[in-house]
Amino acid sequence: MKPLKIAVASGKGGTGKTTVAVSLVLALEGLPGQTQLIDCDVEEPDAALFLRPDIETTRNVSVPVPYIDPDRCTGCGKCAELCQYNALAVISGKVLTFKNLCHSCGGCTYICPARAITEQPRKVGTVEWGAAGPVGFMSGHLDVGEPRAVPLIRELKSMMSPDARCVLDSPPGTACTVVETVKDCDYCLLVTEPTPFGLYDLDLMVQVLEVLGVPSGIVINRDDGSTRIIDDYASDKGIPVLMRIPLRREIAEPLSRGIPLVVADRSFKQEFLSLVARMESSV
Amino acid sequence: MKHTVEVTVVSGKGGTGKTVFVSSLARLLNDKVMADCDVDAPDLHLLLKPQILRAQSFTGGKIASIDGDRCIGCGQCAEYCRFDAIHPAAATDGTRYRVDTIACEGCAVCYYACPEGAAEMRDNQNGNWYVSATDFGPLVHACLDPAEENSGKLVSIVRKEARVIAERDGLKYVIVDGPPGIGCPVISSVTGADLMIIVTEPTVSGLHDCERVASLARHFGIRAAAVINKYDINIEASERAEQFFRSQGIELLGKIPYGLEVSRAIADARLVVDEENSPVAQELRSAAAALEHLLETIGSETAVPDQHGTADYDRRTAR
Repeated sequence: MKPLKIAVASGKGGTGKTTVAVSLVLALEGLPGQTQLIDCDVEEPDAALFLRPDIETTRNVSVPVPYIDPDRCTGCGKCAELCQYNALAVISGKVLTFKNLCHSCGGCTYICPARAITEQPRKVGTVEWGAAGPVGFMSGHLDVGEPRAVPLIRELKSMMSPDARCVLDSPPGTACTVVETVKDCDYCLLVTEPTPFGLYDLDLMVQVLEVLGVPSGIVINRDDGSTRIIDDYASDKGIPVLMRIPLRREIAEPLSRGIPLVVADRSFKQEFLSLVARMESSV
Repeated sequence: MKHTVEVTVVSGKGGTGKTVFVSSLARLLNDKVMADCDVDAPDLHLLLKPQILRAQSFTGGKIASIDGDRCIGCGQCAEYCRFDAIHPAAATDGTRYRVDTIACEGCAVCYYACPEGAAEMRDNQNGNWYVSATDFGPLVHACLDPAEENSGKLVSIVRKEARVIAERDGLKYVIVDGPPGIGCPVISSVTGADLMIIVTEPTVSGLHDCERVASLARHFGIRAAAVINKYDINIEASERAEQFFRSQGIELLGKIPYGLEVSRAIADARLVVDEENSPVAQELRSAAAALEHLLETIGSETAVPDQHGTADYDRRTAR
C-alpha cells in the first residue's frame, strides 16, 4: 500500500490543527518508512515552533508576472481586455500593471499582437525544508503584504516525497488555500471543538470535502464531555469520531510554551498510532 | 459631514477570540454597523442572531466550460491552461475535454485559445451575502460556497455595504470581524481601515502570528491596537506580548483572563460580556471603553479636513 497523504483541516481557526499534525508525525517516528510534515499554512506557519526542525535550505518562490516592453507596446488594450483579474489597465495608450493581482495565467503574453509582453519572476515568499530527527519537514512563508498564498502551497506539495507518509497542516477557513492543501490527499482529519462555532465551520469543511471527494474523520479537541453536538453531527453524517483531546489546563499550558502534546503527555502516543491505523484501514 | 471610523479585528492565528471580542463591541458600542468578513468560516451570526432583511448572491468570477458539440478535440485549451484545469474526458458521451471546476481560476485563456469557440466562460456564483437586523444594530455578513475562490472580493462587498449603511444612517463606527491569516481576505479586510485591532493569546504560536499581522499593519500604514486574550494562561508570554506591542507603538486596550464562562456562553449562543460577576466580562467592558476612547480620538483626527473645505463640499452635494 502507498503511504498516506493526510491533510489536517478544521474550518474554524485555533481548534488544534497544528497540535494534531505535529503530534501525529512525532507518534509515527518509530514506524518503518519516512514521515514528512508539510506546513501548508503559509500565512501563519507555526508547526516549526513545536517541531523545532533543523532547516537545511530556504529558497525563494516566484510567480511569473507580465513585463510590458514600452518600445513594442502599441496600447491596443487586448491584454487588459483578456485579463480577468484587473491586473492590466490601459490608460491614455499606456499599459499599467498591478502585479499583485496577477494570477500568472499567461494569457496576456499569448494574446499581445505586438509581442510586447514577456514574463518576469516576482517573489511571493519562501519555502524551507529540513528535518526534526527522522521526521522530514517543509514549510512556506508568504511575504507580508502579498495576497496570494496558493502558489506557495502548490510549490510545497510539488516537493512532497511520493514514498513518504505525509501530514499536511492546512490553513484555517474553507476557501482556495484549504482546497489547494486538501485536494489529492488520501484522507482529511477534521479537528474541531465542541462549540457552535466549531460545529458550524466543521460542517462547511465537510461540504468542501464532499466536493473534493476526500474521506474524513473527526478529532474533537477541548472536549469537556458536557455536550455531544459534534458526536451527533458526526453520526448523522456517517463520519467517524477518531479521537478526543480533553479540555485540561495541563494540556493547554505546555502547548502555550511550544511543547507538543505527545511530548508533554506520552499517553497520547498510543492514541495517535491507533488513529493512523484507523485511517489506513478506512482508505 | 461626520466621518465614519472603521475598525477591523484581526489576529493572524485563528481561534484567539476575534468573534467573542467583536460580539462584546456589538453589545457595548452605540451607533455602529457590524460586518463579518470571515466569509469562509463566518461565526458572528451565531451570537448576534440576525434577522435577514436582504440576501444577494455573489458572483466573484467566471468559470470555463467546453461545449462538446463544437469541440474538435485539438487540445489547445488544455495546452494553454496553466492551472491544469482542462483534461481529456472519457469519450463515452462524445465530450473530448472537460473542465475541472475546482482547479479552474476563470482566467479565460481557453476561451481565447479555442479555434472553434467551444470554450465558454460563464458567471460563477461563489456564495451569498446578507444585510440583517440584530438587537445590536445592522449586520452585513456572507458565506462563501464550499471550495470556492474570490473570498477577497466577497470581503470587499461586505465592507462596502457596511460603509453604505453607516453613511446612510449616520453611524459612527463600522466594526469588522476579520479572517485569520495575513493573505488575500485579510488584506481585503484591512486596507483603508482606520484601525486594526489585533487579538492575540500568550502562546508561542499566538505571538509568532501576531508579529506577522503587526508587520502587515506596518506594511499598509494602518494604525494598530491590541487585546491579549487568556493572558493568565502564560503570564511570561503575555509580558513578552506587551513588550512587543510597546516597542511597535501599538496601544494595548486590555488583557482578558481565561475563563470557562466564555465557552459556556458560546455553547448557549449568549454573549459572555453579559455575564454578571465574570472577570472576563469585566475586562471586556474595560477594553471596549479603552477602544471607544481611542476611536473618538481617531474620529476627531480624521474629521479635521472638514474645517478646510470638505464641509463646504458636503453642503454643496447635500443640496
